[in-house]
Amino acid sequence: MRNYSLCLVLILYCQVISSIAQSQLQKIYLHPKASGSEKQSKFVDSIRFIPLEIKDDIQFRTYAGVEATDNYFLLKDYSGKTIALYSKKGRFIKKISYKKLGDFYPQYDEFNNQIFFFGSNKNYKLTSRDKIKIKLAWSNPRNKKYFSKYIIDLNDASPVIKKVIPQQNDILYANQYGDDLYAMGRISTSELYKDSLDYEFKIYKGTQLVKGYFPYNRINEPRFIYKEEGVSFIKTDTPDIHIVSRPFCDTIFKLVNDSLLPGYQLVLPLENSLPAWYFTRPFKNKTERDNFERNNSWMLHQVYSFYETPRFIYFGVGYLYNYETYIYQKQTNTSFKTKNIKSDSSQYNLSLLADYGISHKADKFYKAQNAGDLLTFFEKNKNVPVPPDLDSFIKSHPPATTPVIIEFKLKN
Amino acid sequence: MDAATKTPLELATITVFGQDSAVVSYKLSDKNGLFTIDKLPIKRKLLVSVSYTGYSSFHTAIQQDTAKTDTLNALLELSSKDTVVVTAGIPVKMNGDTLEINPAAFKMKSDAVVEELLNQVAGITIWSDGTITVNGKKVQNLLVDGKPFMGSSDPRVATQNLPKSAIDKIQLYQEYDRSKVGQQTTPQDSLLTMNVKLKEDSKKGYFGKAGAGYGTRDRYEADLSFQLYNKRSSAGIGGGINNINKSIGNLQEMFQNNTYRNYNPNLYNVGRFGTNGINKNHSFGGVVVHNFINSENSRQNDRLTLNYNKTGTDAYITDKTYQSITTSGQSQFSQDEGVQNNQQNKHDIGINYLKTNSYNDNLDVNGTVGTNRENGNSYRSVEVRDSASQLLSKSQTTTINNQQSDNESLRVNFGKMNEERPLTSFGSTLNATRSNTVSEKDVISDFESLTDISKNLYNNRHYTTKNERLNVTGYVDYSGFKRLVLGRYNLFGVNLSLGQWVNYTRETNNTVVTDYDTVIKKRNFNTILSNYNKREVIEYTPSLSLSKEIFKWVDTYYHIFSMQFKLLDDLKNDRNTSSFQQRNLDRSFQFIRYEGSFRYQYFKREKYRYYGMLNYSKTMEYPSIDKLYTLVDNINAYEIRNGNPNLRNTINHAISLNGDYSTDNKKSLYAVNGNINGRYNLAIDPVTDSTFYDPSGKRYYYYTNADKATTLSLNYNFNISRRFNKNNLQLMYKGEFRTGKQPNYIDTLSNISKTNSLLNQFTLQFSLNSILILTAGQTIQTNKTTPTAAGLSSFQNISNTSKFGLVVNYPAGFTLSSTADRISNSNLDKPIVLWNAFATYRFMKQQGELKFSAMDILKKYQNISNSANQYGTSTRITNGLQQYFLLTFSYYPRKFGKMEFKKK
Repeated sequence: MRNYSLCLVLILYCQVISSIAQSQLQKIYLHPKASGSEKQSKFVDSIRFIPLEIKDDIQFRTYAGVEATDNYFLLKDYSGKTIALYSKKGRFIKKISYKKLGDFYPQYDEFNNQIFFFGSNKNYKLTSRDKIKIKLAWSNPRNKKYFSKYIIDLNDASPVIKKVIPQQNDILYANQYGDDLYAMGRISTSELYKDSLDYEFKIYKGTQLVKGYFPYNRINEPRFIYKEEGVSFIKTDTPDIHIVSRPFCDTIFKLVNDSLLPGYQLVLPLENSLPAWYFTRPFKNKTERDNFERNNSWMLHQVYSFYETPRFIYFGVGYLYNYETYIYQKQTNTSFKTKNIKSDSSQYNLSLLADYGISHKADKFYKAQNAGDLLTFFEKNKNVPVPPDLDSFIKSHPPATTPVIIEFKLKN
Repeated sequence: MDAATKTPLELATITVFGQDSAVVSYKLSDKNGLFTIDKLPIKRKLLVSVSYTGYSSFHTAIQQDTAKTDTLNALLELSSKDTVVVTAGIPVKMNGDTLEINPAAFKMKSDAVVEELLNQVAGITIWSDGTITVNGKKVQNLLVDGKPFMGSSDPRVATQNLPKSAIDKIQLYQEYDRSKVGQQTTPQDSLLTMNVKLKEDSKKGYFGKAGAGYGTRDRYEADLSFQLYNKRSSAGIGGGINNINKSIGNLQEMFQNNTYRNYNPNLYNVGRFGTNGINKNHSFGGVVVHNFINSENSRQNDRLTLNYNKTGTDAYITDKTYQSITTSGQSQFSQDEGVQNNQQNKHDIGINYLKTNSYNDNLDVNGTVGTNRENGNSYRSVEVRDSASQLLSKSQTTTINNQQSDNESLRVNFGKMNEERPLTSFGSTLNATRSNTVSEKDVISDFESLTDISKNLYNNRHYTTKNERLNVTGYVDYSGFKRLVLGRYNLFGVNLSLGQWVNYTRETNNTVVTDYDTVIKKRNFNTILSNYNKREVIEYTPSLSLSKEIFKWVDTYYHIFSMQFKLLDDLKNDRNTSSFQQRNLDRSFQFIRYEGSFRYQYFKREKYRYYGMLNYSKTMEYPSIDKLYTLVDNINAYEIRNGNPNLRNTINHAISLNGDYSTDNKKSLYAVNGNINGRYNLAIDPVTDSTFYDPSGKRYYYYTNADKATTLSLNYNFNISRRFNKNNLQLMYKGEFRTGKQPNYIDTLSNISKTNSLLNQFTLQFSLNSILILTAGQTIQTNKTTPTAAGLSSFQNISNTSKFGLVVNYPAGFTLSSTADRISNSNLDKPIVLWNAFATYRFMKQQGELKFSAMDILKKYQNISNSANQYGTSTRITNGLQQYFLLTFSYYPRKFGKMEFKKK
């Protein structure tokens, strides 16, 4: 009887805790194909233009990305394989080409203030199995040759590409976010692993595991078999708080120091939710998994980018075979697909919330724009005053392909 | 523009509706917010709607009473609502990498088929030859709910039968050519695919045609086509019988030729006046397709297809052939007259099983069984004269033949690509064929020489031949070879592939020949021609292929350059066993050879694309036993062939090229595409003829080697289409150029026959809103033969064909059409004219059709064809159809889903 009473108390306690946890979750109501549309000025303000110094060999391209660091704007031209460095006032510093590196793409490591390129050595062709084998035998010095790493240290007075020796943290895709603190979210399954326990998300101090979250079977976990996955680890404006989102999970977590708490929950229509068997029944082979994903292309995969202001949440959602970015309006519990948000004339007809090529640092977003679009706008709309930060640039009649960086904020 | 700021709005949709809510025209505004819509109907009330996401739509009614240019200013207010409710479908939109067409946005007549809908979509062109292009690129694959419709990927069965009302949407996207699974990929493996998605309530239905007609001169025709389908299965039967030379073909052709479309009927799917003789054709068949899985994509297939086809022909042909023959000294002229009656009956059964789970695997099993029975008789007389028209020789030949054969074949394609386990990636093909043929032939020939009566020859010969043939070919392309030998090493991105080709052929012939002795009235065994022959060939070719692809892209264009080099080692053993001692040969060969190719593709987004390919290959061939030790048969005195045991091997160098160009501009009213294909072949030590014109008139041919022979052929076409609202103007040009230098020996004179032929064909078609279709075409063909040896004559003929076509679809239900062909030839005194006319009326709620055909109205048609080769030029005149009138009734049963379209 005593045991029975204890159980009852425990069950009631769990239910209360669970309901409290649920009630703390902020719901994000989302219809993936939402056709709702709004004008951009409802979401965006504080637009500022940073015209870039004109250089003949630097042109705006559709598939270009801009990233703000403490000292620079980085204009990344993925098709031309170049990075142009500008001062925060738009003065040209230098252009660095990484064509010779092979199929590498630049990533910015904010903690170390460096751009890094990491991937397979172009002299070798590696399968996922190869990568796991190499990871398991990383202490073997012969395995170092399979990967290459290059960095551009932005702390240097004249940044250049430097080759460095890949470390274990690189091959584990560890993300340094504090002094000697690393977050690791790479998930893979393979029969090559000898022990089955692993965690989706791990925090390391140096090489010591501090904490692991969300255990899974790394030999044959049904969710992850035949496909590599990764937990998203996203910085917020508040130090020591990070957003963590897991594959195939509608809950978005907050990491506060080393405590992981549920923070938000995506509320999706039933048709966009994964069936219960997905979490228990493994696919027979990779083809079966691919076919399921293609045939159910709008089922939830994972939340990627995530940025919150008092009124809005800007986030990207990957579905099994689609990707969309949204703005969630907290007051009305409405999600807007950024593709459907229309530029309007009060913001110079600029489409700022595209799903490609924008980045943010602290509370500011950045996007590169073709100068030609601005020239055309002010030519056609002579009654619209040219903003002061753009005035001298427009009067200099720059080439239409000159890039201009636009800084903006989500409305508070 | 924006009402508040007067800012131009780019890509606003301007739609003009008629009073019946049908879309008359639509346009998107440019970056300055401007648009122009021309050719609007006058004296009609029209509604103009301008919509832009986030703004309230602008609507206004207009009516133009005279043809003039009006200006419309549309100021759009920002919508105050949080969401915009879309009440009308968007005609065309991009969904990711897929272009989607929404049939609901196009209001058309109730019986309109998919092809009529496609004709209204900007950027899509239905060319006069039935080809569909989207923004200039040809649709190479058509699927219905992700599957080939009725087992066929030919677009016409679906686009000319399925009603617009049964379609949910039409998708256009690039898809991987799965026949290339397990092989190195090239840019051309990407096929433009059109997928027609049926509405949920239209996923089962039936349609078809049953028609019969009778006319003057006892001409008749009957056609049957009936197809039904549901989500998993489809079945169809087809048949036809006629005595108007109308081609019926196999089952798929029957389905294609009996579609429901009537706004642009195929004016050439009628009695064929160009066919030799009078042919009674019949064909009947059926097909059943069953999908074992319920998938609406083309990646996953588990499908069985069974088909049966019975075809037959009863042909009666009379012909006269005039030939100019190149000889030393004076030319000879041959007049050849013949009459023949041939019957053919074929039965074919086919089975196909396709199993694929993804784009990375492919199992395709195809089996066929067939029987063929042919019998015929002919009489032929030949007279050969010199340039002074003096008769040199003449002959009469009577032939009765009877042949029966059966054959079976099996083809298996199996391939897998596995990026994770590259060692298991391969592609393979197995082909096996077997055939048995038994033939009987009686030939009576009587050759009379006017110059040397001692060479007169009379033969009454009977041939009995039994032939058995077995061929098995296997090919494995192992693309995991690089991983096997180099492990993880990337070899600068060069791909390695190991090929293994094996072939076994066994052919046995047992020929018994007897000659009738008119004196003793008894058949004698012919020891010169009767023989037993068995040939066994074993071939093995290992090959190693190296390939590399270079890809570059920026936001406005991409280009791909790829190259391949292949090294091959041909190992062959040819063992011949014969009842003739000299034909018992056991020969082995080894040929090391190589191939190489370069491919380049450039794609400028929203502008154009082009593709070029250059390929070189070297092959060797050895002379066959029949050329080394020919069994000399003198039954045809004008072609007595002799062997040459000293023949050498031939080396062939071949260069082929291919180029494609097409525009890719969605906003352009023009669609342009062009293509060129070429091949140059250089043969070293080719086997050729040494011809002797005996003074008696007989001709002896000896096989011999020449120094070299060259051939060059080029095929090219260029097509341009211009859209004027719902009207369309098309110009199609097709050209062919062939030239060659063929060495031979004529009466011991060494000669090189230079042959040239040039064809230019232009077709112009104008479609006026499906009401009027005008076609005009011109074909000019020149053939020329020039021998180099002194004393030999050159020959040339030129033919010129003009074609005109007219289709008028007015008033509703009526179609009047006509074709007129004018053919002139330099060998003819006056041109030939063929004028046909047709009147069609559809009634019984568009399911019944009455058609009146008037063929060869001017009664002036003659069947004449010309050709040229190294021996000279020839003109052939045969019997054929003559004027007739035909009345045909057809019924089109149609039901899609629960309700028939007519009720909708």
